[in-house]
Amino acid sequence: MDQGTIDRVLQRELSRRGFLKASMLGVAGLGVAACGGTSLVSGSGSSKPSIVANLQTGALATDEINAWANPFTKATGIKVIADERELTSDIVQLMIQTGQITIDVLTSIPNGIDASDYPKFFEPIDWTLFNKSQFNSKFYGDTWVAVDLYSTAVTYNTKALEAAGTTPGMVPTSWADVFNPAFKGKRSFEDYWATTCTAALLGDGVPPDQVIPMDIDRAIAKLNTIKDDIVLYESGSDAQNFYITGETALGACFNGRSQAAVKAGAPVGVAWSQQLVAYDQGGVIKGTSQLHEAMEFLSWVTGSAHGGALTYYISYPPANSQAVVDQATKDWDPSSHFDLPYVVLDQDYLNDGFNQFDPSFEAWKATL
Amino acid sequence: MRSWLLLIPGGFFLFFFFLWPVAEVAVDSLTDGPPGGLGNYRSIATSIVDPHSFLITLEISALVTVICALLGYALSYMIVVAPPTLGRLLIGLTLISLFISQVARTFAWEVILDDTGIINNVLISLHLISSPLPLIRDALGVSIGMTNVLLPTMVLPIWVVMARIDPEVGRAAAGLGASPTRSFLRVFLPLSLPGVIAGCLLTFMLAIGFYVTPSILGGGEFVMVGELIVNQFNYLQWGTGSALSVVLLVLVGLVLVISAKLVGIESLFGLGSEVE
Repeated sequence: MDQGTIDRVLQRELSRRGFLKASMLGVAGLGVAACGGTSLVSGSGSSKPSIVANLQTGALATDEINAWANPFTKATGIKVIADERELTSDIVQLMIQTGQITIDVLTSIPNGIDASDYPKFFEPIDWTLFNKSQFNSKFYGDTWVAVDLYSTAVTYNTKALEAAGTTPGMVPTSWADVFNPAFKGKRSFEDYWATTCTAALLGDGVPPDQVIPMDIDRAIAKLNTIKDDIVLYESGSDAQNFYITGETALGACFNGRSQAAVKAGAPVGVAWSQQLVAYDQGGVIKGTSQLHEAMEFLSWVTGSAHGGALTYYISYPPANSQAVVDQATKDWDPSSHFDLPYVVLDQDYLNDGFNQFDPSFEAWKATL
Repeated sequence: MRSWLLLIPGGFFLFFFFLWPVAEVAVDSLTDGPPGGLGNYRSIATSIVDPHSFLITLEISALVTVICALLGYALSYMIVVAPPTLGRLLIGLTLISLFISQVARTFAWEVILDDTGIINNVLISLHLISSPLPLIRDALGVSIGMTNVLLPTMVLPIWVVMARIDPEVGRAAAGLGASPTRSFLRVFLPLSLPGVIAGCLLTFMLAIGFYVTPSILGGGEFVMVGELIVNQFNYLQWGTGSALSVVLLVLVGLVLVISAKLVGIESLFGLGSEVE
């Protein structure tokens, strides 16, 4: 390109007409964006009632939309706009602080919010819409109700195990096996101190009822024995991918994600002994303009009639003891395996433990 | 007096969208968290993770900048000497990669670099290696991804300066008896240097703050400063996150100041060495 061409090109582009055209387009574009933006803020400018629900990410969000959001809209006429990003506590705090409530209800309260701060962030539950007696007292609080149970269990991909050199037919049956060098291949763990360190302690022989209070140094020492083979997953989608591709041969994975991997045709198995059971907390953001509609949605997804609908898509059963669940996939339901040892990761313990244990976990990660 | 007034809109914009938020972050770093002003900075300095993270961030950013400079220079040169249509096509392709979502491109790299990804699958099926090469979740994978994403940022400033170099100068050098190599080294290269410097600076400053690509390609194991800051905010540690951000900002400022001292402020913005 020579100087003359450049000059001519510049002349053409910067001509007055071109500038006017560009600025008109810019203003029009801004106007469209502004209209689109305001219509997403719940309630404003729309005639039908609608709520914005954060329904987790990826395949799980699609499942929640099919299982809950669509039937809810059909039954009540309230439109549910799915917000499918990974919600973090800073977004929630900023929404409350600035008063720009763009999400009305969540099916999974993010980690990082102190239990004492819950009343600041979430509306008190309207118990007239819920049947409290159907829940174990562990599964609700003043501002939240457990939406589903899920567990992190010992998972393995038989093809990946063999490809890495494990004796064919040998599969892990407990966390101790994950730390056993007889099993070859990369191990998956969650990029989260709670599940990874608890699994390490169980693998080191600590009985399930003694993992809390946590001996973090013992957990880290155990993790270091297989340090070179550890791969961390940050989200359920990552874990699911690891087992579909065989990137990791064995280790931790969420039960619903292993189920999805098997559905996708991967040679994946799960050992249910010593599973780490946790629950998602659902809540309504404080200050939402759609309080009643949001509560109705929360009541729907945790209720006995419709809460179990998710199990037809992925085996995350509701915490509601009376809920109707898919009998066909009962084997993937963590509660079907409560005859084997298991640990419940209580949310208060997880919240308190962050400041206590996460720094050590992060320090260990830096040495990987 | 009149021309002074033209600065007001820009000034307002800069003040409300840049100076004020940065000041708020700086104030947060001093007020939020452990009491007594510099508590957050002290905890960063004594932490096991943070200084290490800053170190690897600087190392990787420098490495990526150098690789981008070499590749970017070659690409820009190709664009400049190519026939006009081909040149425009190449620039167009370079620009298009800027429009593609960074997240999508990074996930594509994950598919390529994974232990069970394309590269390893091909090498293993050709029996060139017996177990997968570690191309991801380490410095190598992150560097490859970042180079890919930052290359256009390097190419554009270099191309702008190269395009302004009068080809007559090259012919003049040949006429005076210089070999093509000599002509390149003694005439073209020095004239294109301001563009290279501008590109390197821009690329380095973007690289140290990078979040998306290093966080996905680094797994949980290779944590650069950008990801560190995001993690702090995710857990509502506003003070520590703000302090880390301020340190990063100071670092970037330092790089700018040192470069300005070394090469002069006009060169930084590609405005130097106009051929008369």
